[in-house]
Amino acid sequence: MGDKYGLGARQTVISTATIGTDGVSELKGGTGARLRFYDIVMGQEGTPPVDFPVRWLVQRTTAAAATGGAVVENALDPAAATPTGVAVEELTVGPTLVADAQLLDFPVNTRGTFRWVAAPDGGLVIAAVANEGLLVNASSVSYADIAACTYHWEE
Amino acid sequence: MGEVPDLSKFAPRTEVGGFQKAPAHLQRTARHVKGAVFYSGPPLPGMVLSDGETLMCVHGQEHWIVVPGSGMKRGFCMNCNGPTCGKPACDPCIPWEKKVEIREGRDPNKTVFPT
Repeated sequence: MGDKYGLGARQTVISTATIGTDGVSELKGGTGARLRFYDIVMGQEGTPPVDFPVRWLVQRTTAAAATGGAVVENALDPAAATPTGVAVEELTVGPTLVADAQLLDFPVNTRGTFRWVAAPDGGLVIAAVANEGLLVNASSVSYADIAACTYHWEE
Repeated sequence: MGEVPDLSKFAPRTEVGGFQKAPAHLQRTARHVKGAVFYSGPPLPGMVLSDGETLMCVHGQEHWIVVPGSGMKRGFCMNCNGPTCGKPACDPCIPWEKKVEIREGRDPNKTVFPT
């Protein structure tokens, strides 16, 4: 069992744009180790609270990391090594998506909180290839406010 | 003809503390669950799910919530002995572990993904 890491990410204004033009966060792997994405909690912080669906999507990405704000990758064990995974939040330019590679796709009420957690052998594996990763995206036709998530991965 | 044997002793006990059916929130929807989902908050119109289990496509790693009777058409790979998501891209049998090896350039057969 490898070291576990986690981080929190937010996007202040989610959009209805085509998936891949922006995003909440992107987690990139590297050649050092495979990453296994195993837990994500997602929700919305905006006001006023109304019942709109927000589509949360986790999809594979390739090519160079998308532009976005820096975010700290926290080791759940303080003695763990520096993570191979590197993440950004508040993407302003979307990454290159792998077609038909939506791994998680859930609609969530803006007033709700949703969690997905993998079984021990059910995590989403990112290959040990430079610039391969996962995009965490939130989009809605009726809600254009804050979306936030917390996710964990293992290396 | 001999007496009919009394088989009632083999019937499931139903009294409290016996072998009774699990309550709804503990019943499983899939045999080999690969994930779980939990929702907290008011439901969307028509939404019936507050928590559930997910299965994972053995070819593409996509997870979906198991909703018995939903009508969603999924597949099953007899080679990998596991469910597939139903997308045409995941119909050919290429296990997701093999796809990871191919992406890492470690496949000795230099397999190319079907386009």
